[in-house]
Amino acid sequence: MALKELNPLLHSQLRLAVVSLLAGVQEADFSYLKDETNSTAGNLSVQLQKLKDAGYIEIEKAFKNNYPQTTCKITRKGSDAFAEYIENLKEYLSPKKEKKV
Amino acid sequence: MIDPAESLDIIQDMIFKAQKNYSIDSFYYIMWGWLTFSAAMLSYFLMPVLHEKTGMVWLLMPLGGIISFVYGSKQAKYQKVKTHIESHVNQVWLTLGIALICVVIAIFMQINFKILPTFILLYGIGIFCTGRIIKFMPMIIGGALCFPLFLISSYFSATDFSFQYLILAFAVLVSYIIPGHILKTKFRH
Repeated sequence: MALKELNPLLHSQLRLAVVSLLAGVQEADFSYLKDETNSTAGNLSVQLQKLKDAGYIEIEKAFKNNYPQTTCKITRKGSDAFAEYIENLKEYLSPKKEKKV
Repeated sequence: MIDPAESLDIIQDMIFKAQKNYSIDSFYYIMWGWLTFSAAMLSYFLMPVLHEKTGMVWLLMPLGGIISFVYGSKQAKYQKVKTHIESHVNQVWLTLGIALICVVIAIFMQINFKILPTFILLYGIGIFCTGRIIKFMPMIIGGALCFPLFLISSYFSATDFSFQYLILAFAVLVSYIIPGHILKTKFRH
C-alpha cells in the first residue's frame, strides 16, 4: 500500500512549526511565534495568512499599548489536520507497521 | 521540502517550547495573602477597642481588588502567549472571585449562612468553572444562575425555610440536569 501523502499545507518547516506551537497553547501573539520559530516577520506573515485561508488558525488584530498586536489561535479544523498529519507521519517513520485497509 | 524525520523534530521542538512557556504569577497569592493576614491580625488586636465595629477592618479588602485590577491590566499588555494551564487557572479564580463577592453581599444583607444555600453556592462554583473551562454555554449559564439563587435561598432561609427546597431543586435543574442532558445529546455519537 502506498504511503498517504502528507498534507502539503503542514509539510513545510515554518507552517508546521507554527501549528505545533499553537497546538500546545491557548493563543500566542505574532512576536512570540516569530521568536520561537526564528523566522522573519515577512515570511511569517505570509505563512500565517496561508494557514488562515485554510481555516487552520484564527488571527485577531488589536491595539495594545498603542502598538498593533496580532494574536493567533489554532482552530478545530487546524487541530484535526495536525492530528491527521502526525498519524500519516507515523507511517513514514515506521512503514512496516502501516495498517492494511 | 522537509523529510518526515525533520518534521518530527520540528513538532517535538515546538511542543517542548510551548510547554515550558507558562508561568503562574505569584503576585496575587502574596498580595492577597498578606492583605487578608493583616486584616485578620488587625481585627484581633483592635477588637477590644472597636468591639462590634471591628468588621470595618475588612473594608481594606476592596484595596486588593483595585491593586489586582491595575496589576492584571499592566501584565496583560506584556503577555505574548497564553497557555491552556494559565487559562484554566484564570477560570478557577474568576469563579472563586464571583463566589466571594456573593458571600460578601450575603454578609452585607446580614444573612446567616445555612446549609442548603451553601450547597447551591458550591454547585455554582463547580459547574460555572467547568463550563468556562470546557467552553460549554449551558453549564456557564446554569452555574452563573446558582450565584443569585444562593442569595435568594439565603434570604428565604430566615423567613420561609421550606421554600429553600424549591430553590435547591431549581438550582440543580438549571446547573446539573439541563446542561447534563444537553451534554449527553451533544456527545451521543
